Amino acid sequence: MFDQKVVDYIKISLAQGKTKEEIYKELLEQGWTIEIIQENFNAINIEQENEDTSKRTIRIILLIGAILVGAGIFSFVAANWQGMAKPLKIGVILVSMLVSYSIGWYLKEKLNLEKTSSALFLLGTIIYGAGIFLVAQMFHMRANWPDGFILWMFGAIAIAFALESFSHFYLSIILGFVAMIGHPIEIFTGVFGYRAFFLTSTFLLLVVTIVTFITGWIIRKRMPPELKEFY
Amino acid sequence: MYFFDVLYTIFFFLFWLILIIGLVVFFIKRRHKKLNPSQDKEWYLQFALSKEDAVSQLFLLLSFFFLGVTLLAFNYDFGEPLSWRAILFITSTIGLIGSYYLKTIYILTFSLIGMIAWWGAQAAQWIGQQDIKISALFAGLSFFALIFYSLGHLHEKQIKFKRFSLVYLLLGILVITGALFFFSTKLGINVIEEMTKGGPFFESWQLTLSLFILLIFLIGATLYAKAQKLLSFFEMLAVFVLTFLFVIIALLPEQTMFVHAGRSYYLYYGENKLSSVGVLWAIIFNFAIFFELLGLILSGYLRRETWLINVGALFLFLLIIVKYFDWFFTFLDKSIFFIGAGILFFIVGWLMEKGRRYMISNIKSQVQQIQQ
Repeated sequence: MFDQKVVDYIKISLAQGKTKEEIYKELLEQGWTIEIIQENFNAINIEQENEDTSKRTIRIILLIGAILVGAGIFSFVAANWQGMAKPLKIGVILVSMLVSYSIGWYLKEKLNLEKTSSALFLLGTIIYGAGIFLVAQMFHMRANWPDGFILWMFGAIAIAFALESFSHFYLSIILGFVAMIGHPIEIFTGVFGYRAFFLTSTFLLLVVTIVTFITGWIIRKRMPPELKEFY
Repeated sequence: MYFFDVLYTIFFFLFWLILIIGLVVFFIKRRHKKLNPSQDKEWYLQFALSKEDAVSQLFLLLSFFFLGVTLLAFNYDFGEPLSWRAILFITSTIGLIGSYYLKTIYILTFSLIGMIAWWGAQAAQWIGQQDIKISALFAGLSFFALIFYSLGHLHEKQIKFKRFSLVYLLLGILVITGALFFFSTKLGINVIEEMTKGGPFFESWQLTLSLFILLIFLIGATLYAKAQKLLSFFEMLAVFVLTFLFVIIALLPEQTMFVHAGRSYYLYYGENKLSSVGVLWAIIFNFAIFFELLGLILSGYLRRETWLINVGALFLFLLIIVKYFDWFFTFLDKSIFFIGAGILFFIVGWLMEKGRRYMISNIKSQVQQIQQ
């Protein structure tokens, strides 16, 4: 039997950090039967699951939106690349990145639209990364391609810490793995026809080792206190 | 006929893919079921205890990988004084130390794989220098896997190392099961024949010494785990029997496994027939893999570890299906073959469902009795 009073009591108790056993004990003392308590616990779980699914759906839709807009912008830029002057090219990259971050900030701070704003922040970071490669191509920079992903990852990590955004951390991890896999492929296969470390700065590799270690260490320190006993 | 051959080949090579996907789905499903580790008795089966845990571990893993790449770059800058194998060893050692200090299972997994890869590459070089039989390399890798199994049980004692225990156990079980399964097939038997060609491993002192150290470490770790009551007599016996089997393979003189032994590795439907020695090894490995998997399930039951029962049952199911294809594909009419396969699926599925349910319900009732 569903009872709103019991549901509210369970929710408040869980928020206070009480264990399931304690809540059961207290409710039994108040005269509720085990079946009723169990049913209401189940109702809360179902409610929670529905809420999580709904949140996840919104996040996925917004994420797809951010990726599509990013792809659209770069498709447009790529199609008109030859006809654009260098300052215009850089301008397009910078402006689209700044616009994305600014709207994201406005939505977060003024309208309290957390998910939409985080999707826009992510779009800004995607534009930033694509900008690295476009600038490198524009000025004919001789560099090893995985290094571009490393630089992109640095930016993504900085934004992730500034915004406390886990989606940026996830993006950084993906970028890090792409860079990390890219280097050994060159080392062991030599598919690009030159020595892998010829164009890569050893200093950059050392820095990325330190940066990823410190990032992991800092996030580890933020682990929920109830999990400390497992470490 | 060609269509069925292709079908069989696809099925055979999809075996590992199915296995890996099955394991991943199994663990992800578990994770969805139980999210809060403090309320979950089997918390150590989760890939990550929280999103902070997952992200921090992935960054630390990246750092470990980049360390290896950085060392390679420095090595290149200084004119390559070290081989890539030495750098793999250094990185894996640092990774192992780091994983224990930071309690990160992701780094631990790759450090252990790195260690095995380092030894394998190093041993391959020693073998290449002296034209020694490759079976010694295989024996060494199997010793590593058995050491992991014993070390896995040794890590069970402390709550902080419970997840480490799972990593060691899974790595050990996967490697041993994979090796036994492979050598129980015709392809594997042919590889054994190839492996036994060449001089004895005693010709390389480095290989002999490293194998000896591994063997001593394996025996020591297993006996210590038994003394600590973390390993049952039955499990210790299984480890020693498998060790003995791999030692024999390392010492085996050149074998002729096929009556018309060819050089081809593609022998599923070839005319090559197993010789009496080949049949003997096929029987040994088929028995070994079957009893190893039964032992895993039994061990899971005795230890009240449902994950071990599930993993053992999954492997056993795959083994039965693959063996059915391996043994009956060529000489059964195709319609009968597929009907038989369908019936086999039903029977195995039914038996597994009943057996698994029986074991798990027994475990639960025992746990409840203990709690009361």
